[in-house]
Amino acid sequence: MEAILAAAANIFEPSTLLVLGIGTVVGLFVGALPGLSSTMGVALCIPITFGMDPANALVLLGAIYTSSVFGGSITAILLRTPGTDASIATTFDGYPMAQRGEGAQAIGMALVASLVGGVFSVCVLLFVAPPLSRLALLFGPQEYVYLTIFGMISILGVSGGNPTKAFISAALGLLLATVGFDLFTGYPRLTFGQDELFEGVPLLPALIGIFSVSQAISLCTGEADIGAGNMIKTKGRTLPAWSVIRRCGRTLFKSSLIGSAIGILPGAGTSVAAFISYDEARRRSKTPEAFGKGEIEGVAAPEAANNAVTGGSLVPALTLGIPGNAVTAVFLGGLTIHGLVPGPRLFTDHAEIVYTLILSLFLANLAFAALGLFAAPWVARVVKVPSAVLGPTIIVFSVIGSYALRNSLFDVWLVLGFGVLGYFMERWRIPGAPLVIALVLGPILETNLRRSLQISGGDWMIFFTSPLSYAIMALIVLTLAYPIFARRQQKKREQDAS
Amino acid sequence: MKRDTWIAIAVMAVAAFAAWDVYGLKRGAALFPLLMSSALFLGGAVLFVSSLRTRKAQDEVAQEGSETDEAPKRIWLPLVEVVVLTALFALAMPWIGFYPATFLYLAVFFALRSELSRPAGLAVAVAMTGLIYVIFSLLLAVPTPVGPLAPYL
Amino acid sequence: MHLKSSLAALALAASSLAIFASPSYAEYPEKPVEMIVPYGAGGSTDVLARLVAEYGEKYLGQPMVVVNRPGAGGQIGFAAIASAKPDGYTIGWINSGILTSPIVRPDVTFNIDTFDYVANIVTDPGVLAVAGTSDYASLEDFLAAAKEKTLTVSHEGVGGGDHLAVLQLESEADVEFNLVAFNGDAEAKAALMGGHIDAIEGNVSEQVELVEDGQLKPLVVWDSKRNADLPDTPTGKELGYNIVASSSRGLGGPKGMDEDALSKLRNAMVKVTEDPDFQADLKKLNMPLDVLVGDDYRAFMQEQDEGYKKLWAESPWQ
Repeated sequence: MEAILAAAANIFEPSTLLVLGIGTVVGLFVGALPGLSSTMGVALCIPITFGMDPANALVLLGAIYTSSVFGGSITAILLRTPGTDASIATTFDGYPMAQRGEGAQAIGMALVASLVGGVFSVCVLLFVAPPLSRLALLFGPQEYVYLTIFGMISILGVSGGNPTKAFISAALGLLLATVGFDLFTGYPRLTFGQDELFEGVPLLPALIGIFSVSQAISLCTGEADIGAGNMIKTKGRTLPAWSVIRRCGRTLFKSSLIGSAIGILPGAGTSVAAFISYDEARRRSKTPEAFGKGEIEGVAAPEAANNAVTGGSLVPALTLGIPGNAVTAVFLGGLTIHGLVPGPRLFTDHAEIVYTLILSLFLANLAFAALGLFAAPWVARVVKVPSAVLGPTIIVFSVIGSYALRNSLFDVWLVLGFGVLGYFMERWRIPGAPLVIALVLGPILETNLRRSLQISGGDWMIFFTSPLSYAIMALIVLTLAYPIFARRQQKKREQDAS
Repeated sequence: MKRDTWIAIAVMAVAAFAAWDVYGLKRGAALFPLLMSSALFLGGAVLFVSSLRTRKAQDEVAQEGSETDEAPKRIWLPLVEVVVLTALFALAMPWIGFYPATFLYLAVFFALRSELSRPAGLAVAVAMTGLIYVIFSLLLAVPTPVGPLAPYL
Repeated sequence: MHLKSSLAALALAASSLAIFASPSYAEYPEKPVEMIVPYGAGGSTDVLARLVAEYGEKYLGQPMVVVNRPGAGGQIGFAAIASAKPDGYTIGWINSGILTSPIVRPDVTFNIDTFDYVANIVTDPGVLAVAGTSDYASLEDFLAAAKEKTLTVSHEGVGGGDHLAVLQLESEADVEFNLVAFNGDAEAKAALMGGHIDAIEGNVSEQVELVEDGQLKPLVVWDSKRNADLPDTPTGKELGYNIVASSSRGLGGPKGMDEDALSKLRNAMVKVTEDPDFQADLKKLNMPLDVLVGDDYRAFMQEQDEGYKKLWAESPWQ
């Protein structure tokens, strides 16, 4: 407890607050720019922290991490160009809202949801981190298989009008996910002699290509015109009305819970949490058909979830030294530089620094919310920029971002190639989201499936042994059956009424 | 033939090609790609059949609304222009460096495709390039392609 | 620091201009030295590289600029180092991957002979560990049990140093494990602590903290001498297995490097590694300093190369 108090005193040092502010601004930028991921933001700032004292260094990295996840949603909403995979799901309803001129309102909702999710997960980190991290260890490879399948259900929700085409898109994503060095046999697969594909199709160029570059091409050719002739009002209050927040209350809470829980599991990922929450919200909604057409609840769900992952993913990272995703892995690299070796003893040996970090995450959440609130009405005007200017600019940002990830020109061609692919998929009414979701989840599914079979010596019964597996299986069945059940209920009610 | 039929054939071709490429690998390594390419092939086949069955020529028109009739023809030219310009940008980048390439790309693009006047287009291109330089090189210290010709520019 | 590195980049650009303008006979190094890291930013090699770059500037007299060239398990970066201009202005981080890759893929453009060796900096010995709650108290217990039933042991991908170490153990102890691949030590440790597998093969620095906490129990360290961080764990040689496995990281450059540049780089690295502040920083990172300069480094790589080639001849791992 005194560690927490000491940490509170630390955090209100002027230098710490300054670092916090800088980190928040940098994070917002990094998240918003297509091509710069949270991972890269944190990685790029690690060298800056060399000269800082450990507490400030952690505050900086933590602030960048939390605010970059929110920053990604801004461009996802306004331009349909998610900065990171965490905000793919935000585009589903955020962009239609922006097209209707409600960009600022969508950002407002994203802001409230991010704040709720972020603060919720920090509380989780603060109060129940050690016992939860033990629970996460119960997840073996076979449970990850089920979890990934659970995540894939969300593809159903974003399939658009034509299930066959959505299936093709998802299968293509899964096929692309198998490209690269096979961990289990050491063979390169489907690389066609390209060393750059040895580690698989890099996710970010694929994601940016399919979402951002394809959108930019449509802007350039004049097909997509955000803001329909620039006539749209972008005025109006940013923050959602209290009644709207109340309506989304359940979704906000549930998504925060899902986000924190998924964040704690090493190897699941931020976008998985966002997809599951989005799907969950859509399924439980009274008006599921409004989702994908600019339903504000469809912005709230993934936003609460992806920010809830931030705190959650730090639970196993700090307590066990096991990073939950790529960002926290880099984050841990930053920790060790300052002599803070993550692990069970971090909370006892360096309690003050750890609590400074946790409290600073609280403040970082408040800081990006305040900044976002201030900036939203201004940023929302980006839709008034002529498409012919916006389009090439997005392409330039995407190109430099993709290049910078690996200093590789190959990735530049990859992002442009995926851009053209995404453009034609859009024109041919093949939804792009299933491809990207499958590309994210495919490697997790394959490695864990084959790992389970390796552990069991090829015996498929390993998938039917643990109670935890049964629990997730039951969840999957329930989720799939719910719409049928709900429809029958509704019919019955209608019959009763008539 | 209808567009969906062509798409279906292309999808099946991609699936078959991928399956052929991994077929020789050890079973463990080939299992997943084979499963996935079969799934892709199946999807293509279903699309093929369904595209043949909907004999009505208007199916795509119905899907896309009224624009379909003439829009694609109008869209091809700008599309080719955009793709070619962007490809030139990517080709030039390793030679003349990222920032000069960015400036040229934006300037040419604005001149050809936007309603901005020449001077305004140039000004916006300069401002954008400068902004990108400040963000990526100065603030974030992201490495960019420099190019052997850059020193002469 | 950022400002510094951008300034360094500017200086790099400016000096390349100067070269075009007039041939100069100034002494090496007259411009910043590029240091290729074949892995992504934030990884352990990257962290080490940035630390060495920071101290290296002091002793080399020019900034050292870290350039990440990840991909293909390091192969893209290795190839870039091997094919760089041998003027001493491009060097990079190498490891046993420069030895194993050419064995498996004869078409790669590098091998042990395409590099000049500056200095090895860090060697992180391999270690086989079980969960803290496990019944196996020693390697003998573990191997005896492995003869009775199938035990699962993790490694981090076919053909990696840790995978090869387990293969060597299998062949020397005449046992067969069920080998399971993981994407890195984090997932493998989680699986071990959750009771999903029986043992993990990894490196000392990744395990020290969890060992001290009692979560992990190291059975054997694959080194020729006892490890300072795990003084109670026997080495493979003590237990009668002639296996040395480690993950080493050092600096190399393209073959045929300028003599003057090479010796200045070697001197600078010796001075860096003798700097007490550097040693203290390295200690914080749990990275064991292991300095081998020039020919010693080459000999060390040669020895490993022969071991891998022998293993490949006897039982190819793919």
